[in-house]
Amino acid sequence: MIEQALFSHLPELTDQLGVEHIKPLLDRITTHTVPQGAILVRDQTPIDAFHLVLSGRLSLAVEMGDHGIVLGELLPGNWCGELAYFSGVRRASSTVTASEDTEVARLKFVDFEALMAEDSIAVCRLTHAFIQMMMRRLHATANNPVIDPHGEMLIMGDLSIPWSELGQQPHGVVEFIKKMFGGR
Amino acid sequence: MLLRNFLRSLPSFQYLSDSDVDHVGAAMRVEEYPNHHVFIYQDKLNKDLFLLLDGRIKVGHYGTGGRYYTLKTIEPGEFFGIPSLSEGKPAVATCQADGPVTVASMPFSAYLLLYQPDSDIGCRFQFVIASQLAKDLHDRHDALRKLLAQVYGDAPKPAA
Repeated sequence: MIEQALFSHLPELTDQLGVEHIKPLLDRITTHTVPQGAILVRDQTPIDAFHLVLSGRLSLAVEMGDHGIVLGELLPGNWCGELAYFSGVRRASSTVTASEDTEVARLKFVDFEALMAEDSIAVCRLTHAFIQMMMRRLHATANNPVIDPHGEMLIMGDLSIPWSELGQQPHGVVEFIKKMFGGR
Repeated sequence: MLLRNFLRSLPSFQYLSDSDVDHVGAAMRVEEYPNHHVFIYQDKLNKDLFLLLDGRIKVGHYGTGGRYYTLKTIEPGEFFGIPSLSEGKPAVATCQADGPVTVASMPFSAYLLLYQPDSDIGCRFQFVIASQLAKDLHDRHDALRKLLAQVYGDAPKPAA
């Protein structure tokens, strides 16, 4: 079933990386199901992999003792684990919990680095997608949290980028300048 | 210290060649700024990439209701201004000098070539951008944990 979820998203992944760069990535990822309510990673604990949501939803929360702040949800096409990797800290920056039965693809950091040596363009494009996701998350978490009617603290923002946007080929210079100046 | 040597000392520059570092350094201009100088205004478009060489810069945000709070303090070796510059959207925070500072800046036109992953140097510069954004998010999450500690202290969560 999980392989089916991966297969169904191959077009988006292929758009993102380019057809000749998809196989080296697929060779290195494994797929898993995270049951609803299960914790994929716990805030501040060591981690060694990225996870890509294939189907379902993952909820993110920063924690301190028994309390937490819900940051939002990751939808299909979005990854987690990039903060731990690119900050060099190698510890989870939030607790990641499956909001429903969720299928994920797992890419270990060591395999990402191996991919860097084998196919730097695939890593480059994947990193560009991570950059887009981190900018979205910075934007979403700039506001301080509010307290919901149940007394839980949460951030009002949208953490996820639709896969359709991530799947676009890196835009060219002209498109970038047009976007910069508000053109369409 | 020469800008080139400073750049070479940054961990995020590990994948850039000496030639890459020369190109990045050549595209940046180093200047000193007084206390309280504002580099980026919240809700306004930022058009430069900045790198703090010396001093401290406070990053603040006017939240809903107009309440101001500090998101983080930028230390030497950190880039700032990336999200607004990359997305072509108004900045979500204000960046202001906290004391006299020395800052290197790169114009949008040069950053454009580095942000796009289509060129060799752009490909290698992706790691620099990703590393800074990861640090910014990591610092933000730390600030949220401190907020939790201020609100709840060590109190256990009440039973539902």
